[in-house]
Amino acid sequence: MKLSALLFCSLAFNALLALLVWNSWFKTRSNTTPVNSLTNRTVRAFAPAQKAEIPAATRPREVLETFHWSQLESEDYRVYTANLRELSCPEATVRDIVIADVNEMFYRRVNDLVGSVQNRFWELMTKPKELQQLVDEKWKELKELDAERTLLLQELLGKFERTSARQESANLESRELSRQFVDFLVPEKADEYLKLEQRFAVARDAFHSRQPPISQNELQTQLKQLQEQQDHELAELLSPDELEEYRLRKSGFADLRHKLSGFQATGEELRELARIENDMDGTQPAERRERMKEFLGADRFAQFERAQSPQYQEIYQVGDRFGLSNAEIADAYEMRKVAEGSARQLRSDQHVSLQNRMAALKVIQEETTRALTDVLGPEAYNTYRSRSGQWLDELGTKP
Amino acid sequence: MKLALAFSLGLNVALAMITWRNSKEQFRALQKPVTSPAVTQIRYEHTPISPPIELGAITNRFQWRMIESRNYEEYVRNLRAVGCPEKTVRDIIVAEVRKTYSARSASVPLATSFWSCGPERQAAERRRVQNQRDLDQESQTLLRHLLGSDLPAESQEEAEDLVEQAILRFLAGPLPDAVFEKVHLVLKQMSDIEQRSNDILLPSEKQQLWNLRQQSLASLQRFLSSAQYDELTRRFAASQLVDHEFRDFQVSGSELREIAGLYAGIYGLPLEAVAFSGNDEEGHTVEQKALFENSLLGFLGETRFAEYKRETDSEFQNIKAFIEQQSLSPEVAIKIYESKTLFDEHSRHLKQAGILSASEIENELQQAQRSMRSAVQQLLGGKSFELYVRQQGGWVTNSTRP
Repeated sequence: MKLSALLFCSLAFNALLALLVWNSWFKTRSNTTPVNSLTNRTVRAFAPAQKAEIPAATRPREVLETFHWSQLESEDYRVYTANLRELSCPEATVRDIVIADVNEMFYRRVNDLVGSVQNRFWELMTKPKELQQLVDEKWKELKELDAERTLLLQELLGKFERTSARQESANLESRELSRQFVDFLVPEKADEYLKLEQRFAVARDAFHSRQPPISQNELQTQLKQLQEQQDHELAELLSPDELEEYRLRKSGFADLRHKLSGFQATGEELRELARIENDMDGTQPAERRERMKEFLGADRFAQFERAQSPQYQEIYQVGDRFGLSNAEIADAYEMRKVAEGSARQLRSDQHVSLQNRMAALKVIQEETTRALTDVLGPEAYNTYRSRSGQWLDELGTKP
Repeated sequence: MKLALAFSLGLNVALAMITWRNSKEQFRALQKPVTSPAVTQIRYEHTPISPPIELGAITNRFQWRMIESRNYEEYVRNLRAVGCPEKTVRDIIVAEVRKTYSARSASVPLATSFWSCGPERQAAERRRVQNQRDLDQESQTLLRHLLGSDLPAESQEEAEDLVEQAILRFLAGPLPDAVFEKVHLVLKQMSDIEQRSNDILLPSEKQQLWNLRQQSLASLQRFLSSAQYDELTRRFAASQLVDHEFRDFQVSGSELREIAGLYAGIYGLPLEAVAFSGNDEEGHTVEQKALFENSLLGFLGETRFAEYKRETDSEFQNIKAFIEQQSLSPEVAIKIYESKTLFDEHSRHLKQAGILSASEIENELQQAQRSMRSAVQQLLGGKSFELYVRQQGGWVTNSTRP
């Protein structure tokens, strides 16, 4: 009887130990972050031989005196992170500290990775194929390193969205622009509109990123329905006047306001142009142009059209950077128009011999260059010449 | 039963030993760095301490809020006072300041109405950009004030780009870390100036770049041995050469090194080319270009120099691309290019000589063109010739037209 009880106990103990062995084996296998990354942290602070000098701050002196950073340092990132949290270090600061620390560790590993091929620099620079092959290999290794780093950071910091600083800035800027877009609404309504816009943007994203992906036709149908729903809700939220303003602001014409270099117009005028464009949607472009010309008058309409010309915008970009006036920029643009017009006329004149034509074109080129340099100034002219001056070369060389 | 008991007890002992060994190994793995050939050895700032400290009693009294402050100066002072390593102080403060300022910068409003355009909108945009630059400047000044001049070149985002880091490291060569940081910082500053200029550099910005360049050259010469400086200069020059002039011209590694030396000797350390990832030819004077070509002629000899000139000529590159596309022999590209060069020279000579009348020149050129046309047709074959004329070979058919 005693023997069987002993055997029972021993067997139970067998089972317990077997469970422990299996558990520890499973733990080791399932820990996918390489242990060396987790435990390879560089310890930087050590207990001082003498106590640190405490500044005359308003902090509880005796507590600060008893604490030293070395007390939370560890070679193991997990311990270090836990220690920081134990001190109620804000999660954002824990992230800043850990990410910078981990980045530095991986930076050293990148150095090692590159270091092994440094002595082949000159050979590789002259063998593009071999260099490419090596780049591909190293790229793979770097991607593995990157994945390891992501895993390590996730293990230490949990799953958080690693939004880059640039991305965050872009998000903030886009929020700022959305606010400006609805500055014709009272603040409460503007907030409601932004929420509505956000809600539909999320819904659209959900359709786009659905897994498994839906067919293109299905996607288009869903998006169309979503748009109709959004339009319907907007119509309920906004008054008719507000809705009209909203539509004008959303129209493609409204985007033109970013591109009208040098064209001065009041908000009312620009809005009226957008209204003409919207109201006459579906009519011939010439009709719309005529209506706009009527509204602006011939001179200002010419300025409006000039502002949209790519050739004018090229000169404007340079002139504006160099602080030239609108009149000077307009003069330079007119010079180009006149020079190109004269050259065209000369080239189409069959009575002029090749030699005479080339000579005349050369004169036009030289005169235009001189006039442009005068009006733009040498610095701006040289910049313009190197960026967009191909037409000047062609002026004197194209027969 | 006795046998079963003995076996079970034996198994217990064995399992207990395995469990003990496993737990010991796991504890070791947590406490000590595991070295493997792929992993960098830890570089300690001081002698390492062993196991992590139990915080218990201390954390009961010490809390982060005791050192944290809205006043950055005080925050830095407190961090230093508790023995926080300088690198960690920098990591914390740089991240905090950059986050704060980038949020402020992104929120700078565009102070103009929605329906504004032209000069009014541009003025508002300029004001916005200026405000953002002022904030950027303010954050740099603040960081320098808090941490000294030794600021990191890169933002966290850039530090995260391992590929980018690897490329620059490879290009710069085996430099000491501190010097590499300096090079990186200068490149970053140059690239910032260029980006801000929207690709249109004002004289003041050119001056800024020049000053930066002079300062960094002086600093690099101070921190590097002449051999290290020479190697860095040649490497940067080589990266510029293989991306442009020497993209298609074959040289050996040692030849490239020599040519990069000639290039750097004439144009200097091409920092701008690396910083802007583009061609830095714009800043080269005609005299410098002539000097480089002469040096190259001396180094390569006449025959190879002629090959170099051909390979860098865009006309030849176009012909070569077409020949490759048609899977024809590379020799064909060379022959067509030579025919074209001869024809161009002949044509130029006739036009400049001024001996013949326009109609005589035309006749002469038409004759030359006919023979050249049949030569090119023979080289390419019927179908490829037709395609070539359509795509880029207008010169074969209409060069003589008035």
